[in-house]
Amino acid sequence: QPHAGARGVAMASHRTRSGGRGNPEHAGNAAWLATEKVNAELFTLTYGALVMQVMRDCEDCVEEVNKRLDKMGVSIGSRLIEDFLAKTNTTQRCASFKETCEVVALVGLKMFLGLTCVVTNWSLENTECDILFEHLNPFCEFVELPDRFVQDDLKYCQLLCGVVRGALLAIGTKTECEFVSDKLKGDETFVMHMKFLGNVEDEYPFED
Amino acid sequence: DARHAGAMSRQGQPTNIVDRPLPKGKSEVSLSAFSFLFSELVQYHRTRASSIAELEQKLSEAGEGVGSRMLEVLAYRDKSNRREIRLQGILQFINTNVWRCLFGKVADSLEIYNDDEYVLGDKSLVVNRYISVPKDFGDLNCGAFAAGVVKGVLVDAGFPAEVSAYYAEVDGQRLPKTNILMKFAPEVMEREKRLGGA
Repeated sequence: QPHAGARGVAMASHRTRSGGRGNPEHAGNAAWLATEKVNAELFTLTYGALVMQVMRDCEDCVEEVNKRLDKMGVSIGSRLIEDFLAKTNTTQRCASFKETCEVVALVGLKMFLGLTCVVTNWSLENTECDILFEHLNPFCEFVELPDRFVQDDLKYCQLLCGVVRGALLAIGTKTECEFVSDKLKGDETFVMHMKFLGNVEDEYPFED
Repeated sequence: DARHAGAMSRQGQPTNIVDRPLPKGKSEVSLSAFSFLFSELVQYHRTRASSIAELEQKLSEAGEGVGSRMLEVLAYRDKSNRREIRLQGILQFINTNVWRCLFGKVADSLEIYNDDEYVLGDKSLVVNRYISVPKDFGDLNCGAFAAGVVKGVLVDAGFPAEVSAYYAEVDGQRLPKTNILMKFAPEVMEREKRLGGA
């Protein structure tokens, strides 16, 4: 059947691209299907409540709020990585930063948040890239930022950046992770920029 | 283009939120994602609260924000455009619509304790399922968040009440069930009498 054939070809090329480690898109979809799920709106409204409370506690100081959301994200990321490794049966370290980002975007963001993302815009040395989001609804549905918070650059989704950074740091990869395009601020799309900073060898949890 | 001004975002301006269609509410995230988020919410307040009671109060406040918005979304989505003005009506609304939307199922039980006190029961509240409370937290009940959700709905629907959560041991069950106690303000009970029977 031509349809199955086309699918087969597409999957084969994915496999080659990721260097034979297995198809991350396939892994992400499988993990998402297998995981227990809850209504996204529960997540969205709870996140909103969290941001509101942090804002109140920081007396609307945007810089403090951004820092706090990031810190909370890092805290989550450092615990979430265990869950990720267990659920994906991961035993091997990623061979490159390129592979790491693909796993973050295609497996991680998929299995936890159901998001379909694309990794693109690689720098010449493959140390920087962009993760494109189709949408960021689990965080941003129902959200509209008042003008003054757009102007003061409130990073509403900063928690997610913290999670990615914290998770990668826990397995020894130091990164920078920022939204460079934010729909809540009037941009067309959400784009997360990833930058590789270095390895932290003594935190390598795998057996060689 | 003036014709498209309502539908398209202006250059550099986010689309006005009320111009966008309301989502159908069918999308999902993993339970893990919610558990991690909720657990961080608890952690955040734990470091700032000076007592378990204060921590539960903060969780309840967070829940109220969720409840009051859930009421708006669900009321808008409800095709019959019905507004509950009777106590039984709003209790059923919470028991079925709100619970089903947020937790994927209806609550396990809804009972009357006194004229002005009702109790909603749930054996496996998602906020209590994957949260293990360390010993120094004492009697913390993350059901306080769910109690807040209920309070948010009740208050915004015009049924002011004090709402709290507590555990109740259940015979033959290892884990206790979470009970949400609602004590309605006198004006609610008076209004019920006026409208015809409590």
